[in-house]
Amino acid sequence: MRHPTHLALAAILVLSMAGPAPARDAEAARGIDAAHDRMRQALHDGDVLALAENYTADCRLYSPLKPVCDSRAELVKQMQYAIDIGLYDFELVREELLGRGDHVVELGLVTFFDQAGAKLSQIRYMTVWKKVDGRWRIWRDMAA
Amino acid sequence: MAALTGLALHRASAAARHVLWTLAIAGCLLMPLLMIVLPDWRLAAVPDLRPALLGLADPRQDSVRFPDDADGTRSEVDVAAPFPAEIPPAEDAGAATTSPETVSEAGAGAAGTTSPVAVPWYVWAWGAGALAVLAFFAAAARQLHAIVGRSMSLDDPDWREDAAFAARSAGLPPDALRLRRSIDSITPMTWGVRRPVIVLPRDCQEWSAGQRREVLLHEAGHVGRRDCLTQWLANLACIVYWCQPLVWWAARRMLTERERACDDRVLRAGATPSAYAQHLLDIARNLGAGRRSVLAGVAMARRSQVSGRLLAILDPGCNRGGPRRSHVLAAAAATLVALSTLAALTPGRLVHAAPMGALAGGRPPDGSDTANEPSRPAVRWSLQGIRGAIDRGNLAIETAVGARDGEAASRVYSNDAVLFGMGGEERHGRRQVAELYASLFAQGYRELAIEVEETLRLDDGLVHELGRFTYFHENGRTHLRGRYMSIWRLEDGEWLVYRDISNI
Repeated sequence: MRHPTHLALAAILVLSMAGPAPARDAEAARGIDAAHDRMRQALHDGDVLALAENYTADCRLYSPLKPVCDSRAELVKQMQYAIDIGLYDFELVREELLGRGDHVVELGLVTFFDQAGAKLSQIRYMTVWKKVDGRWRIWRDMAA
Repeated sequence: MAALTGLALHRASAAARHVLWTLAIAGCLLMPLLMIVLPDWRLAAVPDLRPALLGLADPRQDSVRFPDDADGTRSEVDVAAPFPAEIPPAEDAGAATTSPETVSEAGAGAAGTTSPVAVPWYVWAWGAGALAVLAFFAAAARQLHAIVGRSMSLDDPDWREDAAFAARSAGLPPDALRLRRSIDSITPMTWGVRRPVIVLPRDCQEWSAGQRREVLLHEAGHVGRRDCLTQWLANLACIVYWCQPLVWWAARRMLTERERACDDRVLRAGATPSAYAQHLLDIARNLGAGRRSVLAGVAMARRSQVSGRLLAILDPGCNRGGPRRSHVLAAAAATLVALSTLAALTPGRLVHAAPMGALAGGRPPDGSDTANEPSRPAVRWSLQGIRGAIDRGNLAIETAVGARDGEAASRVYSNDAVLFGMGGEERHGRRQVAELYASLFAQGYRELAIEVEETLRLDDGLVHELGRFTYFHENGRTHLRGRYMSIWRLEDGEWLVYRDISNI
């Protein structure tokens, strides 16, 4: 064969499509933990916009006995209300993280506290996280 | 890819191009095995081309994708798309409708009777086509076998001497060529993989010494190159990929280059191009019985190829060299790497995945919690198929509620299902799910309407569903409306509710 380099070149072209190796599961867990940390810090700072940054632009939140929150304006409004009534911190107990890829579902129990450390409420949640621009953000969220 | 490389190799020798097409054919046969054996590589934004590469129209392949973000990224989100009635789900073969009767039966305890392992129509179609092509090749092989059976051993000293010379020129032992003279008017051909036989036409003993030597050099080339083996590989590829015209084309190209490569061997051994061309033309002219048999063996002359071969034989600028073994090995290695890459590539989120870990009271450890991963689903469900299964599951629940049968409703849930309701209420397992429904019946709720708004595949065995529910009270006035999010899990071919949360 006079031109075996052609075959090698074709193989390289195909290989170049491969991209990086699969991300490990832990990457999603770490990314979501980081998002939780950012949200916690935003709550401490009372920074509603920083809090909202952890949600996708098309997120939808389903809270008990409340209308669906499906816009950025409504999201900011609800968060401002939560801060206004004293929400300062939360503690998560993640029970499951399901799926791989750019969407994962987190199930767990979250407890909210005020600045004095008093427990405000405790709820079950199911959150669909979506990786957007390299960051994990909340895409769907339901509490019970 | 082979075609493109073939274009790049148009000035290379026929033997080099034959290597290329042989690798392409072998690659086609290897591809399914590699796809099974190799682990998945996740690759975003690359569509799943593998069904197309395999030439199979797979109804399970994902065809419904919706842009779900302003940045234009796509995800496998099925936004309130009703299950398309005109595309029956692959897992629902034999029960393509979701009639109330069908669902009622499922709700009464046969929710798992719609088995995804039912053989879909396209598998039958492929099997029928493959069998037809196999029968065709088998008939050709049988005809050739009969021709060989009717032939006689050719032990003429002149033939033996030229056969020994041809064998040596092909890198074979002097006595490697077994010659037989047919009683039929056939084209010279080689038959057999383990102990090849060269079958010659009945008038071969009337040939001139030059023609005899050229024919034996040509056929010895086939034996030395193991062309019978590659011919069987090509036939096998045509059987497996009978509906893929590119494979037939590749097999034909391989055959053409094989004959030209052996012509080149004859010319390299010193034959005069014009004389050899004349001899080839004579043989093609006398091609008579057993034309179909040439498909099974390696025939020297096929009328459809003769003109091209004559031009190549008479072309003084034609490259007649053989490929170096190192180059062949390099090409084979490059092909294997390329095939392995293609086989391992998995587009976007169509990858195998599983629960990342269920750790009550804590976060998953970094990366290594795979103890709870279920086995990989044997088949990949399409979004439509999943959506159909979920719709049937929801309909089974609705029907069970209408029948006040909590047990039937609970069968749509997995044994380890967990439901989270308002006020921190939790239900674990089918028994508690049945009790939950029984409590709703006791409160007077008689009908349930479920409206699915979104389904999102999390991996091959997990799907997230979002929707609304309405329970209708028997008094006709008090209704219970709310939202729910469910995780459906594929268990033994059946989609069941694994986790559920709801509020009002």
